[in-house]
Amino acid sequence: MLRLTVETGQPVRTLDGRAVGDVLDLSVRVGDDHPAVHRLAIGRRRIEHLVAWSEVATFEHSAVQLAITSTGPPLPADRPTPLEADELLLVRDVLDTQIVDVAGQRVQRVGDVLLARTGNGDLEVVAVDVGIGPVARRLGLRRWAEHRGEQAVDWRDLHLTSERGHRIQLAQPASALHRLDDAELAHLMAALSTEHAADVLATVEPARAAAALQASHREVGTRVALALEDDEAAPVLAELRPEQARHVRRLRSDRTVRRRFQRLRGWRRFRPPRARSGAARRREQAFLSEFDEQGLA
Amino acid sequence: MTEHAAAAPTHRWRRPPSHGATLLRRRKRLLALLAVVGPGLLAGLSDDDPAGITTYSVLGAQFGYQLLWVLLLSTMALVLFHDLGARMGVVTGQGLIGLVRQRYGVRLASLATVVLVTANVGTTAAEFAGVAAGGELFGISRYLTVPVAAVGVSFLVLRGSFHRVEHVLLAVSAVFITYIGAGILAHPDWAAAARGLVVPSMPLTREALLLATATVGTTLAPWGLSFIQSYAVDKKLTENDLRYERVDVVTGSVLTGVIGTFVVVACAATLHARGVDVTDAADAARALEPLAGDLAATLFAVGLIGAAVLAASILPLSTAYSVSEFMGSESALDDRFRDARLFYVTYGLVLVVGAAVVLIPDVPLVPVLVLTQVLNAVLLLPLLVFMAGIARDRDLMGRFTAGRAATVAYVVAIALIAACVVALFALQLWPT
Repeated sequence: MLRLTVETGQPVRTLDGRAVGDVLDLSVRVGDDHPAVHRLAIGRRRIEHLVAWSEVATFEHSAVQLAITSTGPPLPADRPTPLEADELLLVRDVLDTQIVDVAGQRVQRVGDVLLARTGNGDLEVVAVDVGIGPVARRLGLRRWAEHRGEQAVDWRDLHLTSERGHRIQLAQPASALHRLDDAELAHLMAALSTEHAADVLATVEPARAAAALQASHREVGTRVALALEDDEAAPVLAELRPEQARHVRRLRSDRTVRRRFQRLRGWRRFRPPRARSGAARRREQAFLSEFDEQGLA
Repeated sequence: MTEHAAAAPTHRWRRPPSHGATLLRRRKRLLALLAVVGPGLLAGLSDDDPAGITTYSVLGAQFGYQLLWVLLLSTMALVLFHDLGARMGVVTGQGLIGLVRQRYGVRLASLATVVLVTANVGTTAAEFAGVAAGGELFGISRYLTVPVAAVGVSFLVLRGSFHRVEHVLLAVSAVFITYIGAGILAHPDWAAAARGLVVPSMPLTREALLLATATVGTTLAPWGLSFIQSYAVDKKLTENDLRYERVDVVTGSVLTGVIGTFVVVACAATLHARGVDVTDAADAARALEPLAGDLAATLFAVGLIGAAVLAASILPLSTAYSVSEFMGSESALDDRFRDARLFYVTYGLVLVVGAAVVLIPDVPLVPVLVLTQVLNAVLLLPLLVFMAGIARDRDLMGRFTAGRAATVAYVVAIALIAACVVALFALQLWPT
């Protein structure tokens, strides 16, 4: 298993030994469960070249060598070839950013990105380490870090909250949020900021969005329903029960209510109950019946 | 002409709003305003802690109304950076230390966290020292007031809902009105106060420079910056709420400045006028008694205790958020202990150590408080620079990225604060 923070920073040379910069970042194209490294970002202090993985001859900790010579065609500059629409830079968009561990339903911060070699010589992202170990190691406390185990979150079970990561994952049909059931979607919304939760709700089909709203704690459901844009809210409200939809419409049209709501309903996350045990399931049922009685507010 | 003629009757026909409609509209506006008041008010007013009240008291007692303009400038800086902090929290959904880790890496973030935690523990001790001093003014032993305050604060923050916590803290903030009362009872020369507020002048003495610098440092505190951002994140405000949040921030900051001004005015009108020297806020309350009456002195002492309790509630919370953000396990008060051990342990440790420092007989309190002020001053500058850098980062701030005018304002403010901090250190190192 390779670690992103160990692999970046190494010098990159051409086949004939000319130094062209350091590995500053690695890019992946999101879509697969474990996406392969797509390009190497090379430069001195800022990214100067984005080189395709197919141009890399060797990628070892001791040496990174490109399969080109200094007399060959020039390296591609980063400006003319910007990132693809579904391309992420692992250092910039993932390392040290927040993620939501969808399976564990926790908000965590990425301490390192774990990569693995595949049989055909590619490098793929398998997980992120959210433990204290990578933080300690990056601070130079290697011996202490060795005693800390990895706390890995599978790449396919995470939702990125960095601006670019969030946008790209919303657009990917295979990303974690699209595989979630209503209750899990409700958990994800409770963990995200209101804006991001509204983005998630606007991305899934209206019937699922309405079901997720109903599975949410009513504080979270109301907050996210209020944050939807008018054109996003209409199809979702159409899927809610008439009395709930009426209630949300009334809240959305009353600015004073919105202000008062945000004043009184902040801070706490109001996670929906977990439906893992029989007792939890019964509590959830009780909660849902309470919801039916009281509506979203 | 025809168009004007056609339009005119329409205006004449528009019926003036009824008295009932006007009242309803005013009520709605008032409710809207009350609804947003919170983060800015708490973060701002908690900067008027015992250290702040002490600084303002000494400022007023030594230099009268002359240095009030420094308080005005500090308040402007407070508005500028608290507004930026709240905006960063709302736009990125992250607290300050978390953002520093993401933008500047784990090393700088760890340094900022270590200094922030150390400074916050010291500042919490200063707040409990304020509780102790305030209680002793009424003849109550610190061995009673400090533990009661610590337990009360813990119970309120850890057991209460956000709704309740915020309301109690806002109610505690109302105690600051006592300073306005004390200021009025002191019968100040309002014309001289107004002149001191808007006409900058400064005696070129070491004491004046030191107090001016301390005023800036005490008004704009690192823990206030980290608190307002974490608070805005946890309140789950959205980008649409930013203009309302700005009202809250400006209200909180201006009230902070107004209260500071009244403290200076109260001391200027009484202590400075009669040449009485004071060394701290409790001293000022005692000195006020024969000059402005029992009520003014009592109000001053009550304000001191309230200010200390408010800041002692917010400091451990701010520290717990920052440590959790750095370590990567974001937590909230809603979390159970087993899900947020780091958060609760940090909260408890800061509170216990802060209170213990005041209660242990032989702990040298003055060096601890001086070290705390130095750490706060040292940390303030890099934090402000980090904030300005994040404000300019389009990847993080999107359409809320700071423009050229805002950047110039940040740079000018940082340069002025840097000059103050450098002056403070120079004065400490070369006292003569």
